[in-house]
Amino acid sequence: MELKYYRYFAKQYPLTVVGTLIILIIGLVALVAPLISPHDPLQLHLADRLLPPGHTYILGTDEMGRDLFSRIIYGSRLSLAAGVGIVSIAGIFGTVLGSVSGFLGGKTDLIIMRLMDIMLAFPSLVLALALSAALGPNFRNSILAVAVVKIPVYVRLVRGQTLSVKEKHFVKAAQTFGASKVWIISRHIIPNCLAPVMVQATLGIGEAILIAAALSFIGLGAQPPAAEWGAMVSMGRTYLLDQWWYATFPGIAIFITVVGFNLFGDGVRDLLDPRFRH
Amino acid sequence: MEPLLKIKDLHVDFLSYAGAARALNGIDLDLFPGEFLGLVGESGSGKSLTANSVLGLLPLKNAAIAKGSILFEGEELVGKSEREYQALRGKKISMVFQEPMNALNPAFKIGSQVTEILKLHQGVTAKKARTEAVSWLARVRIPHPEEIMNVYPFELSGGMRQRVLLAMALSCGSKLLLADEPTTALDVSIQAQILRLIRDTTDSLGTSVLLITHDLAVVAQTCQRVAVMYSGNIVESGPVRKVLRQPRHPYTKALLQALPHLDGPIKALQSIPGTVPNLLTPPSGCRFHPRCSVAEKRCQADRPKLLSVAENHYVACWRESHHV
Amino acid sequence: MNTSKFVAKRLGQLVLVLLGVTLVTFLVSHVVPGDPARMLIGQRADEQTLAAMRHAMGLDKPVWIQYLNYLWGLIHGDLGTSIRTQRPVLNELLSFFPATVELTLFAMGFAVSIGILLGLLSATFRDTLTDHATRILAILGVSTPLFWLGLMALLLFYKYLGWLPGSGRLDPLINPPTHITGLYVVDSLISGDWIALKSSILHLILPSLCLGYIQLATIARLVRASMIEVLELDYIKTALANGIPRSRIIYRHALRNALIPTVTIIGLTFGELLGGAILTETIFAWPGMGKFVVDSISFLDFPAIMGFTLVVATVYVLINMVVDLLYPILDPQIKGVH
Repeated sequence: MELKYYRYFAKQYPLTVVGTLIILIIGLVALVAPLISPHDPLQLHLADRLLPPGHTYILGTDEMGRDLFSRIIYGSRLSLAAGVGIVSIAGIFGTVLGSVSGFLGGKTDLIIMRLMDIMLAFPSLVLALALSAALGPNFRNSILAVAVVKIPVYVRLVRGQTLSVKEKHFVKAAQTFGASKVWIISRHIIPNCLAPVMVQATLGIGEAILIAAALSFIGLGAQPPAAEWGAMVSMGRTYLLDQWWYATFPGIAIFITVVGFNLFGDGVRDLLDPRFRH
Repeated sequence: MEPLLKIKDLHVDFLSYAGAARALNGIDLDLFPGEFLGLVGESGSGKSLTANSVLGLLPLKNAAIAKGSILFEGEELVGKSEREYQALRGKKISMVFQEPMNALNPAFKIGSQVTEILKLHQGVTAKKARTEAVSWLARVRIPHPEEIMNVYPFELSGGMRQRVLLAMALSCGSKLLLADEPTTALDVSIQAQILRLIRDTTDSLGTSVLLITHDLAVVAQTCQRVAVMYSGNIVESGPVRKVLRQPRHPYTKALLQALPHLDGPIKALQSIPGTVPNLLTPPSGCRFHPRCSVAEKRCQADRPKLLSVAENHYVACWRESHHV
Repeated sequence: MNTSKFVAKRLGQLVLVLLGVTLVTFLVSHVVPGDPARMLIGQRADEQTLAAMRHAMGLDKPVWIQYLNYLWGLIHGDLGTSIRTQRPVLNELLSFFPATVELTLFAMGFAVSIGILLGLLSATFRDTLTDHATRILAILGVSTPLFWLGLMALLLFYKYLGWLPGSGRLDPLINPPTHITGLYVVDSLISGDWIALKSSILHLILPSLCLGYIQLATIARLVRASMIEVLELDYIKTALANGIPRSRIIYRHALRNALIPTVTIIGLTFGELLGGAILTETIFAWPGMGKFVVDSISFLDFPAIMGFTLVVATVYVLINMVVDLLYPILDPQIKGVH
């Protein structure tokens, strides 16, 4: 029965299955990185600088003779952390702000929502760039910056959801019993907003990884010699025309990871939101 | 007299994921020049489907004419290409729909929508099309037609829109108007006006009308002849007076009993036990037999044919037609 | 109608949003970094110089006074002085502005035209190969790291095939056309400089196609969805029943209505393109504002970065306002409401 169900699912949503597999594989790679990487990602082999893909170094080496394959394997940790970290932070702050805004209404609502409108007046990469430059260029700050930029998405979503949950009987009942606002928001409003937030977060991971990688590429995220994919592409750019592999492979890693999350996110949305069903 | 439209043994199938459903199960219908024929039935009985089949407007992917013929002016329509249908639609056969609110394109002014058809079918110049459009709008009794030409659909009421749609349908000299519940979505106070307008205009043009409705009162007021449909079949047809005063088919009788007088629409047929049959697994024989109070054994086995019981009066019922 | 009232209201909103934008850039530049004075003069400065710097920058005053000072400066076109180039940031940005405009406009043109075409095709031939291909293209589009795509395009079309130039706006041996708008393609057209025209178009192809590609698929999916929705509507049936040919129905009756929601995302698309220009310009050495800001990052040239942020946000807000003002022209119903 179970197997039959999975087979049906795979047939109906082949792309979702592909996405799920990609995520699982990359997650696994990140988990067991030390076990499967043939070399230390930070170890310099100065005699083996900029070697093309070959026997010893499957995907070649960088300008310091570090093994690209091992660096890409370790890079999965940073990219997954960036993606999940960004949507978690943005999701949590967005949910709190959105539910407070929707539940309290009035001036609080007005101020929070106008603030969100103003943040949306910046193209996301531009605001993320400014913020992470202000916070100081490092990996943690770049994640914080992207997370802040993504908060309005969740605030708007949760606020809308809150407005409808607010009118439900159990909330009205809690109010008549004199439950505090904090209690109602945390016990009634937020739990009822979690499903759409999760969907949105899943859909947002791919984009979050892309923006974080872009920040690293322009020098605002992870700093060398960290094995971060965007930073690796950035370094590889210098050698692009003569050592094509250096910039190419880390980029492919980003691409595959993001494709995986986007396929998976699309599937989750289709499953949970009948409006998007084909 | 030769009929303008002759539908013979028309079968239409709906193809769904659960199998083919026979939505029209052998329709026979004649419509004579200048005639005003009402086609009555509950929703799901196949009235609209019949009209859409005539105009070749079946949803391409999941409905198809399985067999039968539709003759218009003696010419076979079944099997015509999309291009041949295009030349027919709006020019010889026109249709107005139930929902005037959404039946006009919101992005274009009324004038541009009326003149588009005139230019298309009559090949007239833009200037000529415009004067003709204005006179057509006047003809369907739209006040200040010149101004209405420059107005967007959302600025008009439902009744006004239905008038515009009627003008569009008739503007190229159609001989047959298929009116699919043209007043159902309108305000009650407007319904009679629009019906009278349809009747008067088509009368003066000599256009035949197939009026689809679930409202027997509408039929009584406007039609000369009526055909009653049930689950993909025509079960009774004849002159309005005869059918409404001396109904012969048990279904027609039940329909009439459901109304206290001939002045209200059929809502739900609570007085008839049972529901409209599922088309995927229709009852055997006469499709009405499970709900019929006088059903006999042969009603379950074989389908009765539509046969004459009196002059111009046809009934498909074992208890009626075959005793004559 | 009340068009003027609508425009006035929209302009009022514009002023408020722009004020908000300046508030954000102020907070980001004056409050977030902790000590902007130290950021300006570096870690090794002694306390005395630092205090003097703080005083000179007005950092010893209350925050709201600082904000008013900041606004006052902005009104007078003062975006600060670039640490890297030692020139006023506004002048720098203005000199790079036309290049960015040219690039984003071409990317936009590419993304919109091909996007609409693909969307139309996949709506018309629903569930066929074309349709599935655009769906997959859409997912790949939103999943491609723009900076990597640009590098791959360089490798293929510049290095291996040698079809297209890989950097800059013009062949280095060609003189730029007479400066009229700053957009080389337009200027060379106006002045009849065919050599510059050819060279500038060739230089535009790779960066604008890469930049536009990311947005193309999104537009195609949107057009497809709204086209399919429109094709199911009653007025399409009316048009069919009146004998209007299917092709005319699609390209006149349906497309016009399907494009209305598409227009609203054109504003958003511009935002994405302006953001993407940062990466594209860097990769293709396109001398625009994006390249300028990336060059500033390694110097931690804060005035330049914040000036860029402010200018881009302003442009983005203005574009969105123009889209809003254009919207009623496309959708008569909106015009009626206002």
